[in-house]
Amino acid sequence: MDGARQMVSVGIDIGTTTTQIIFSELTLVTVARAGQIPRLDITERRVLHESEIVFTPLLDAETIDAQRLAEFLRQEYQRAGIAPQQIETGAVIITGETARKKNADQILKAIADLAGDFVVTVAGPNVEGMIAGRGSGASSYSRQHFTTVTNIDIGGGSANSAVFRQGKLAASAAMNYGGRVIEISDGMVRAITRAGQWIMDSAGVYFAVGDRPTLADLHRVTDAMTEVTLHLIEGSTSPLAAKLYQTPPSPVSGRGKPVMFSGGIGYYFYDPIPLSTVADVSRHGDIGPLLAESLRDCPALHGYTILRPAETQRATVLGASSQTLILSGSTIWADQSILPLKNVPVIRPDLNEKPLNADTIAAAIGEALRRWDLNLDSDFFAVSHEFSHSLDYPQLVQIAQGLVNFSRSLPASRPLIAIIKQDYAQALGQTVKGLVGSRPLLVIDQVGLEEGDYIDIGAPLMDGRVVPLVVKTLIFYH
Amino acid sequence: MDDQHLEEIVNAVLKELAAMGIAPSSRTARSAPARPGESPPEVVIDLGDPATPAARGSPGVNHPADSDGLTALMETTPARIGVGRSGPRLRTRSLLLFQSDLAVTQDALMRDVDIKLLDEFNLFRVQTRITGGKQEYLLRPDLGRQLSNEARRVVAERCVKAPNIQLCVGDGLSAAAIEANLRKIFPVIEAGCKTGGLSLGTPFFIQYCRVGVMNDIGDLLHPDVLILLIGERPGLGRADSMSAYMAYRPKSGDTDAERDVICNIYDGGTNPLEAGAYTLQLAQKMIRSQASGVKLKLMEK
Repeated sequence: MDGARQMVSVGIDIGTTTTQIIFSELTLVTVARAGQIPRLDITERRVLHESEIVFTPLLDAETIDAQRLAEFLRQEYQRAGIAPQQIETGAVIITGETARKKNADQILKAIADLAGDFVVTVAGPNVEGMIAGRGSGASSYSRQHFTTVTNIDIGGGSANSAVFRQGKLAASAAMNYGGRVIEISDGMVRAITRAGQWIMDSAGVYFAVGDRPTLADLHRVTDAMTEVTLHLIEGSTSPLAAKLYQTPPSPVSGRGKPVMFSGGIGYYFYDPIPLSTVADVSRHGDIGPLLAESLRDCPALHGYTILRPAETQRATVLGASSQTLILSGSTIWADQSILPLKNVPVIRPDLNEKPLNADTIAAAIGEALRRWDLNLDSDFFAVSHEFSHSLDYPQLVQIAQGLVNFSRSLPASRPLIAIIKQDYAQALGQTVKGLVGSRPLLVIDQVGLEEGDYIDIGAPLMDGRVVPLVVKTLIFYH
Repeated sequence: MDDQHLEEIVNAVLKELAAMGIAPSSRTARSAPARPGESPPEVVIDLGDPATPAARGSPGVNHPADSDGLTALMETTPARIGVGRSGPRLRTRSLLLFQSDLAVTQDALMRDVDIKLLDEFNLFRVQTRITGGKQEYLLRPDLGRQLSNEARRVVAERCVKAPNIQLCVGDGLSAAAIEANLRKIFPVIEAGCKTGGLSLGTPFFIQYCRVGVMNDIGDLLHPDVLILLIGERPGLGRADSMSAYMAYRPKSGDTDAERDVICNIYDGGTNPLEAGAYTLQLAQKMIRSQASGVKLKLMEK
């Protein structure tokens, strides 16, 4: 097809328990209909290579072995026949509790040469839930069926929910439990996480490391986990759930709406194995399969339409590999010399219910910037905004003037970067450019961002009329 | 026809029917037949404005199996789906909306562009060779593609020759489209010319305008790029949509193959501010490539 272009994208999921890597090929096609402004679309996502699912290498219970992890990844690059230089985009996700483990930085350094220039790191429970739900297919199912779907991704140490409405993320939430809250081998308890202990206390089950619990005891534990899973779906809480939540409960309840399960627990949910002994349960050294069985048997869940996702275990890594790249609108204003940019923090001026005049806008941007402790001489940042209504020309001029007035407080060579949700970037860019002189300028649209997001903006595509972006958030909860 | 006249006709018909032995029922056919044992229901026609966006978006199907899904489905298209029915017929709401939308369409087509708007942008007015009003305009597209002799004289006299950009506005098939978009797109194009260092010719308005008139303007003024903003053929209830036709050095004999168009310009399609900026970007590309239309596309390959 005319104007098609391929990009190789990598997804690396370093989970609490397991690590996976997937290479995908994204096909970007120029879509031009007569009389319409041409735009760029991602039309195909093809998996080139997927790794085995391996245990995340650990030095001790707290620390990931960055060297062994890098070795594993290097091997997979070789198996896939892909050189790190070929990678144009993608994401590394350090999931769940691991993200809070002290050595996240060390890990990133160890794999920096593998991840390529434009691979970003995403972390934070809300992003994880979203990426898992896109990878599992919940997002596209909700779009294709004009419905609302809740994706529940439960792995070894973390459980994420994401509600998708017609393909768009409506809400998400996370808790820190999973199949590996209790580790068992040879019938003996080897470890209990802090979350595992809370769950046991709440279920009234008592055993300790070194004990040999009965199947019935373990069942009571996984039944309690099933109960908090219901809270995760429905956006509700309980004394136990409150301890496990890493985010506020989902503001959009999935009650009565179709549900999908992904992650390792999702795998056993749809393809159960017979569990008649503790040995059957602990085939992976934990109680994951039993949690899947408790969920299957849960009477409250029988009232739900349960959908089978396209991907279970690989949902997160697939999402990271193929669903993290987004494209700007195709009418933008970009001084190409400043691109690409990495790790640009996003500030959102508070303009709600304020008149759209230049002084108010400039003041609001300045105020938003003060909330961040940025060094204006060296740090880049982007100003993001959404307009609640369509703009007329005098308003456009006021907004442009506001940006220009604000930019006077910046060093002369500092680029002005504005990102707006509605399709006004080129008109705004043109207007600002007329006022701002030689300062480098980047105005892009059709991207909604929140304060606290960081973005990577890639080199322009399609004759400079579209930029690829990856949105990430590095906020760690608690 | 006044009310009194109407009443006379009705009475005459009733009298005739009575003479034929057909007595009209005292209850009119408009009210629903009463079920046995019930008093006849009163006919209440109490409908809100069916043309508001909220009313357009609300399903007319009673007891849908998936009301969220139906609403979501309706949001994906302006087509009249999910409107429900009453027996085999349209619901009153659908009928009224249809009639109201058709009226919008006809108004946009038959009305002239507000002169005050043209004055705001100092647009002087010329006409094509149409002399018999909108009826002739609709029947004779060939005449709408040529400037009248008077128009040629005025344009040649008043306009700057050989500018980089010549901007013209034509009523086309929708006066409403020009009124809805001109205040937004015009200043963006004007400012963009300044930012881009392009000279802008003397803009003017053409009444009874068809796209082909661009050739005549090209012959008279020799701009590098001619931009004609023109009202699009209105759809049912959608009359705000405008097109920007563009050509590099248009001249007599040129066809649509030499032109480019950005259509669907309105808040809801490509918004007019953004369309203005994009139009200028495309104009700059035409100047760089010294081509437009199919020729420009082939050069890109």
